[in-house]
Amino acid sequence: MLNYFIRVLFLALFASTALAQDSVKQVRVSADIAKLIVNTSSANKDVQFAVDALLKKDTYYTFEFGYGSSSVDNSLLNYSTSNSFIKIGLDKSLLLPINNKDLDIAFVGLRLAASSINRSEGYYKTINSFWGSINGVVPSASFFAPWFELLGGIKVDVLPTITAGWTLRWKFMLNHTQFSELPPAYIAGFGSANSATAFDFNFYIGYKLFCKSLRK
Amino acid sequence: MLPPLTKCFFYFLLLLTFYSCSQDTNTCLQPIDASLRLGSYKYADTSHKDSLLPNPMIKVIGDSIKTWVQNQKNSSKFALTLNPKADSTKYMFQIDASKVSTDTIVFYYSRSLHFVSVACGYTYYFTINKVASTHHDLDSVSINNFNVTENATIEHVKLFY
Repeated sequence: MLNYFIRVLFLALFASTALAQDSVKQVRVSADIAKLIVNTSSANKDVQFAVDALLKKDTYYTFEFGYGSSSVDNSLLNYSTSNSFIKIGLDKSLLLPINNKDLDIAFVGLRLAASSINRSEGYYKTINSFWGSINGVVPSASFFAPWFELLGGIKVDVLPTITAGWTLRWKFMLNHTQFSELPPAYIAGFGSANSATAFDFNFYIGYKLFCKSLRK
Repeated sequence: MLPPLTKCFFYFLLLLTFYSCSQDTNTCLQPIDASLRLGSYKYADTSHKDSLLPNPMIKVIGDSIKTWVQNQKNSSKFALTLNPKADSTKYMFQIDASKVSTDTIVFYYSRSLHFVSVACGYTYYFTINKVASTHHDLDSVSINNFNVTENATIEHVKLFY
């Protein structure tokens, strides 16, 4: 897993260098610290990163990736899942820049996302007051889950190279019926797998790999 | 005017408050046992109508015998449990607990494991294949619906007295 992220980060750095042309105004890497805080005491783990590039005056092209895990451990069920995901999309700024260095934006955006999910064997127990309990095992399984997201939020510069911002996301899974039996308790990048739709938010802290004046 | 970082911080706290109100998915709040539902009837010309049993007693026979229905005077609807560890379950029926006469009914079925939810886990559904009975007080038995699920509105078997 570590190798996977080192490779992705190198790819992002390489891409940012390759894109350092006149058309590219800014490249930024971000990490979602909200998920790290919210899930500190939870069985759900969710690590999310984003790389975005401002190619035009008001459009950010975005690549997001991450991984996570979850587990269910109660008196009736015991199993765990892990997944990694990627998302591509763009954000469209709704604000006109005040000056050539103004990159604070309120935006709406779209993401296309996909995740590879692995579920361990599931150990279950059924309890009947008269007949007693029955224990059993459900085989492990792998899933491929695509979804799309509609989102909105803000991104602002808090220091010359440091940015912060949040997003609200409405997520719609395309083949949720595959989770009719023993779904993941949580899908990193998506949220709860109980429903085909999910509502989520992120709070990002970002670092600008490079930034140019909007007018150049 | 607040600096951008302060604004973001307050927005973040607000969102965190909403997020913390999300539903607890680890608590099972629904009945999950699939019960076999019976109704007692008597023939009336070309149709049939509910037949209230005066003082019914129903016992389920497993490794032990347990009285399942008792002191439900003038009842015609009953919910029984099926053994998820076997393909048949046997019951003893008395239409009046003060009388000696009893009937034995055996329900034959196939079982299927059904996932309910992460909080509630699994339960068993049943498909009734056959019902066999004695006929001391009981006239006949008919299967009204073969599929026994958690749906509590369906009557599966009709008992005719």
